[in-house]
Amino acid sequence: MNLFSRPFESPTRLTAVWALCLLALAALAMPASAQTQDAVGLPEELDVRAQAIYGELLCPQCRGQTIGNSSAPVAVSMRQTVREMLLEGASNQQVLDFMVDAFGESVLASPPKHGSSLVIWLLPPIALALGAMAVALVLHSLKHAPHPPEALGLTASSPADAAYLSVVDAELGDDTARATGIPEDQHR
Amino acid sequence: MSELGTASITIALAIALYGAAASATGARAGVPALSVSGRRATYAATLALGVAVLALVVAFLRNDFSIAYVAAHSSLSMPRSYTWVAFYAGNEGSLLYVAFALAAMSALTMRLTHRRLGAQRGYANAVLLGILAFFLLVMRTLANPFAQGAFVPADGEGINPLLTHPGMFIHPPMIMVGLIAVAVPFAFAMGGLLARRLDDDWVDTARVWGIVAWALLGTGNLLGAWWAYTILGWGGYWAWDPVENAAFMPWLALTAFIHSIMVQKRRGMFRLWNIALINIAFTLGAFGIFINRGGPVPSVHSFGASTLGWVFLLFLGVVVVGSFGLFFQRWGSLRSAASLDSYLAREAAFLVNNLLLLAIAFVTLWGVVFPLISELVLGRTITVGEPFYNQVNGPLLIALVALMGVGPVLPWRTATWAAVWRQLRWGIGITGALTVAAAIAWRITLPVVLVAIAASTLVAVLVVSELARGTRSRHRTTGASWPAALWGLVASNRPRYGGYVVHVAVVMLAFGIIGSSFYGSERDVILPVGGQAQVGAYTVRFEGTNTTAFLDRTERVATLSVSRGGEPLGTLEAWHGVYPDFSMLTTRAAIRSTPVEDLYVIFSELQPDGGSAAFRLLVNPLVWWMWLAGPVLIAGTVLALWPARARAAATVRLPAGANSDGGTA
Repeated sequence: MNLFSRPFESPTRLTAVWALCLLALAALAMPASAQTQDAVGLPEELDVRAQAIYGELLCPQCRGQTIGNSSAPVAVSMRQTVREMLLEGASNQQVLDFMVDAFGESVLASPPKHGSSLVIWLLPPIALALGAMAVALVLHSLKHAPHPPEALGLTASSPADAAYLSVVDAELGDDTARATGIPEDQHR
Repeated sequence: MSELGTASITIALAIALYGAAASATGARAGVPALSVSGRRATYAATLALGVAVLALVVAFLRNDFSIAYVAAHSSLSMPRSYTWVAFYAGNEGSLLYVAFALAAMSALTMRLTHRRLGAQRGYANAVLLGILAFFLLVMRTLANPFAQGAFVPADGEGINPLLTHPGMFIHPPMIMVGLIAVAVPFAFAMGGLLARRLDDDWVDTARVWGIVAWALLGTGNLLGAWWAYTILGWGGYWAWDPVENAAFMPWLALTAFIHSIMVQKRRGMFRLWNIALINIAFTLGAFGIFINRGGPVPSVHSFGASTLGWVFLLFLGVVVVGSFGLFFQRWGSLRSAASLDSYLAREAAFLVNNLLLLAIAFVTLWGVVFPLISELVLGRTITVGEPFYNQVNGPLLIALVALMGVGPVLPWRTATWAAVWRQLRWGIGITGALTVAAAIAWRITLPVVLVAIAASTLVAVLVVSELARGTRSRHRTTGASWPAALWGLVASNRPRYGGYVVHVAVVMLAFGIIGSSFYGSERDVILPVGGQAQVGAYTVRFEGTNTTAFLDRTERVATLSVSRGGEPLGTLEAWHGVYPDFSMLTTRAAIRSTPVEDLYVIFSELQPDGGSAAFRLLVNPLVWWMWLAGPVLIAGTVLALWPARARAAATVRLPAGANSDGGTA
């Protein structure tokens, strides 16, 4: 089953962008005299956007954690890159595109809402709508069903009784068959 | 110990196979002696597995490294108490654990259920023993916990350091028992189908075991979240990780089931649907075991890398084909004999509840499965992570919470809009006022947060008002004192009020989730000794570290003093341990927890210069309430199960006296 679990092993991605990015990240990861890792301060509005982007990107070295949730060096430097790009006026999409170019599509914490990945976003609402229709149909048929005797409180549990009665019927049937059989034999 | 353990498993396997055959034949041909023999097989298999469990425990305690499993999961330096954890740290041991739990629960059910169920009980026993035989066969052929290594190492490899946390003593065993406990109601549903008994006699058994499995999974998930929060060191508690999802999905289906089964209990409706629901729950449980033990997806929670994936996939396939095949074959004979007078009735609310829960389960399943499909079919690696689940499941969860407020107010069968409005208007008014007050007080502007707060508040307000109204009328009519009236009210309908308590626990969870997901703040800082950093309203000052060397690890404790607005709040100790054998660093966060917010400090690493250290500082509002929700949830469950247990005991005692199993054998 290990064929599934190779998240970030696509060497074809080692393009120039990749290498440049790695260099940039490595340089950022070890700031000579930084007192805090959040070296690039952001105005509040950009900070909100940065936090949103952190939640959209996965830390390549950690299993399934977003860069917002990880304190691994690569996550720290990716956060740094996000902040810098936002400061330079990049849009959220541009930041995400840059990261996809650098690390491949698997860096995205969830698939993009366009292209072939759209199906993953579309199926849940479709399924919910179908389910809602099914529930509506069931309710409709229940409301317009004839009142069974049980609902009127005439019998306690009709299927149980039905099962019981069928057993009784079967046994009675056997008995009558036998009962009619014996006299026939005696007749002969 | 090795021979004893292996022999016990072999014997248990033989007994289980015999018992399954005997029970099925006994039920089919109506031979009581065979049915009794089948039930005794269940008891005997439990006993044999008990011996195997003891053998493994003794092997661990004796450091019997000739057994490969013991050598791989313990060491001489491991504290004795971790034997409990080491037992299920790998595939082989957890299989033994699951098998023993399944056998014990089967034995308990067979002991407690009413013989009125007749052939249904026999078939149910056969199904349970069949499932048990599967686990034992896997153990005997592919994953024997007692298999001997090629040589006897001088020392074992030791235990995974991530597992050495108090939460790990309860969380994994609870999840595993919860996942397998679904087998009991499932077996009775299958037994009913096989025996063509389509009445409501199995409902009490199914309800009790459904609730037990539900509570085990729910508490297990909460403990897992708590473990992740305190030890994984990222400040969160839930990441929609595949393994978390795997335990979450059957819990959702069970939640739907324990609501829907009440409709069958009260009104004889939804017979078909309840069987479908328990099939879905067990299928998702089997899928959970596959994800958990087969390891097709990378996860922070998967410890034992495994080659058993295909076996569990096979098991999953057999469960799906078998259960749904039988279900559809009996489709025609499973008619519910009831009708509805109004769309505005509790039955309808339960159907919508089921729809929402299954939708959430479906979204979660889709998110887990889609990357696998994408990888296999398209050859593209895709991650479906938090943003997807939050965006798709978030609204569904909020709708579910809102329904949780309104549903219990609706009467059975029929209601008028006017009557419902009369019931709800005060609750809605108070909720609206509280929500507006909260919005103003904490300057909340996000619409989704306001809706979530309103929905959660509505549940709490309606529960309180229901209790207040009932207590008042009881106080007036009986003249009892207020506390006595409240207790009398609760005692008069424990399932109902137990359910309310659980709803309150869910509201606590909701508030914790809202607070921490939308209003947390976090910083990563590197501080020299004496350095300070701000997070939220807190000032954290790094005072220094203390290093202690142990046999298997080096522990470092960073001391930090905390103040808020110049007022000192004491010190925190953030811990981490370096395990050279595992080349692993584990952290234990220092948490200053209050009902308002948690200050959460992770000691990420000591810089090479030794003078400064990296910290992750977080402020997580309202998380405290999430951990309180656990005990409240358990209390509610116990309250809800209490009378049913008393009644079950009463119904069991009678036939036990009237007809002893020994006499018929």
